[in-house]
Amino acid sequence: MNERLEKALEFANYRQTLNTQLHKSKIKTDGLLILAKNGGTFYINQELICFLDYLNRTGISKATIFDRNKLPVEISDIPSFLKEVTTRYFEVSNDFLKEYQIIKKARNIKSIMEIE
Amino acid sequence: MTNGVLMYAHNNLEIDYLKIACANALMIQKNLHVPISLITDISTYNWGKKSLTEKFIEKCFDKIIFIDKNHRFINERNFNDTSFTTKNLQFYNCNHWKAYELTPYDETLFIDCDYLIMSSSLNNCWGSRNDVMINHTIYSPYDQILPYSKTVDDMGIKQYWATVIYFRKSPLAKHLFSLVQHIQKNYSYYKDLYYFSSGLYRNDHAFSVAIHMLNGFNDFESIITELPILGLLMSWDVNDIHSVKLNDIILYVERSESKGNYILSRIKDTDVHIMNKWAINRHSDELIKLYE
Repeated sequence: MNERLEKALEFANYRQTLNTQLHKSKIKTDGLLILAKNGGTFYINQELICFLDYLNRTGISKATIFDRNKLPVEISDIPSFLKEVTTRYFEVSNDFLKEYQIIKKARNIKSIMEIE
Repeated sequence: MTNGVLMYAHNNLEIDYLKIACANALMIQKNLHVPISLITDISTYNWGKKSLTEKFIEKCFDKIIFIDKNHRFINERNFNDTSFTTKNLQFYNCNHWKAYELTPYDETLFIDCDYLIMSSSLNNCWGSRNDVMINHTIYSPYDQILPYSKTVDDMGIKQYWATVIYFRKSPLAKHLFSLVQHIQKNYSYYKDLYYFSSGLYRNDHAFSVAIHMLNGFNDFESIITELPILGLLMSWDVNDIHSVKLNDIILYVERSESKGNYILSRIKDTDVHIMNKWAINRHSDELIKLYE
């Protein structure tokens, strides 16, 4: 194998490892955005945050909303649930940002894997 | 209300399931902080007493439940240790339907001992309004695709994975496990009816059929919801383990398009089903040391 081809294949291997790692981080992040509340499970996204914020702004403090399984769950304190949801959202997205920056900066497979 | 994790371990001639269960129990203690019970047989336990010591096993589990093995149950399958080694060994899995009666908990997370717990995600299950939760979505450490579902056959019903099952003592859970018992006892009939490709008894298939039956033979609006996780991360038995750290495992993952050619994949703070049992056995001492 000539040197140029060898380098190209090495780069392809690095890119594949990097993309796989990024993909897994995204899925892990999505998983961490699942929140259990009152027996239901909610997927925290911007849509849920906006909806809860709308309820909060219109003075609705108690409501029945659909969870991840499309089952109705009664939330008796909308403001505190909104706070819980946004706190989790920012915790998870900040952790993902840190992980994303580490992976993006890695210039070889060893550093992606953090192998000494 | 009590809650806890339940695992099975029945050693065969080569795979030390008890040691894997002990390593995983320590991981569960670290990440989920709930009591753990083990269902096993006396010969597996006696081997464990010699290889791991009784004191250590008792440290791993809050309760050990002994059951008799049915020696007339023959269920041999190929176990891969990467693509290069395959061994045909006994796969003793015919008593999972007993979990409902044997569990000492009101709410149980029933997991395979090779589903390594490296996060607290499954703590979201406790107090759920759903009586039973099982996943049909999975993903792999190699593919860059979103979690997906499979069917038991090309034109078959949705496949559920009995790797992790949450259940609460309830009529629905009781019906489900009773159906699984019935399907296991009449497996050759259901194998033909649902076009399973092999005669090997699989709990995944038995639970999939049972859920299909409970749904009124409907595959769409399921009475059984998914676990509060995105999907089960499956590392197939053609993969191997490169190294382990605390809640951090690096895998050699075989490229699907090129047998024997691997890339590294790092699993961190995520639960993972490692199907290469030898790979876990090779690293179980290290795992025990890390989590002890």
